[in-house]
Amino acid sequence: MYKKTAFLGLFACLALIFSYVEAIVPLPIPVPGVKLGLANVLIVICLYTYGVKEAVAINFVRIILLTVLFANPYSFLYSLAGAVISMALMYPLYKSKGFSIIGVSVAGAVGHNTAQILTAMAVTGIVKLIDYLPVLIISGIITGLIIGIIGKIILPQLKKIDLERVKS
Amino acid sequence: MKKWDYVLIGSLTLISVIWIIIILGSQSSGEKVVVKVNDKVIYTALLSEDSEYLIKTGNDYNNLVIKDGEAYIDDANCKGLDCVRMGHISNGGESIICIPHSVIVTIESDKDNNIDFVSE
Ligand SMILES: [Zn+2]
Repeated sequence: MYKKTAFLGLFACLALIFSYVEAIVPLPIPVPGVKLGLANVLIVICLYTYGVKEAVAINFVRIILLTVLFANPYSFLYSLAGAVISMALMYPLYKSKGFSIIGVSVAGAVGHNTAQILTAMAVTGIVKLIDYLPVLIISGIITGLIIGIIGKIILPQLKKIDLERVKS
Repeated sequence: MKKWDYVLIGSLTLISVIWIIIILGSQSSGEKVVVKVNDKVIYTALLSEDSEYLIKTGNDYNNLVIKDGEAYIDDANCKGLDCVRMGHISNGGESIICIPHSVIVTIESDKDNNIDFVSE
């Protein structure tokens, strides 16, 4: 139990660092608030090791801390929309067993980017932002592939350090 | 990777590529520069005539420059300056967007209003 808490804390911390790095490195796509969502690698790993509740929890902690650190209510809105839509797509795919961790993380990354564009459209009233969606879907596929492959490499290593016992 | 991974990635890629081709294909030669703030047209100018216009709402500003048949924003006080980084536009259908200020600068063509209708 204590070990699990420590691991979840570690996941949330790493996810926060990833988001922080993203926030200070501007994307070549000039759509403010839209980020690649590299923190999703921790969320996906958490989903596969502990479950959906734990994954949602560390993501929420990450978003709260990020908002406090940057004091930007818009980033909260973008991150929250990205997190909700991304998990809403990843969870059924993860449950269906028809997809590997790669497919699940691609769905998560594409969902994350789509949610952020839709949020930007809602906030600004600029319908034309939809033109960026195909580019962001492709960037989501690439991010999702990278995250999925990293997850595939890391998961067996985590099992080696006796995560099953950690779980109980 | 499982079968459905390939189906998902393949179909998303295909849809995006077709979508991008449609967007690029619908661009035509433009004549008019249209500035909208909060989805309302506040200024229009001809792309063929060099000019400058300060888009100002409250303390927010973006300086629009039209020069040599191209439009761009050379200065603004938004966070990140994404609108300045978006560079120059000159084709009908292209746009510069400043999300923090809810500003969009679009190149429109007077002739094909149908394309305009689709994109709005
Ligand atoms: Zn701007």
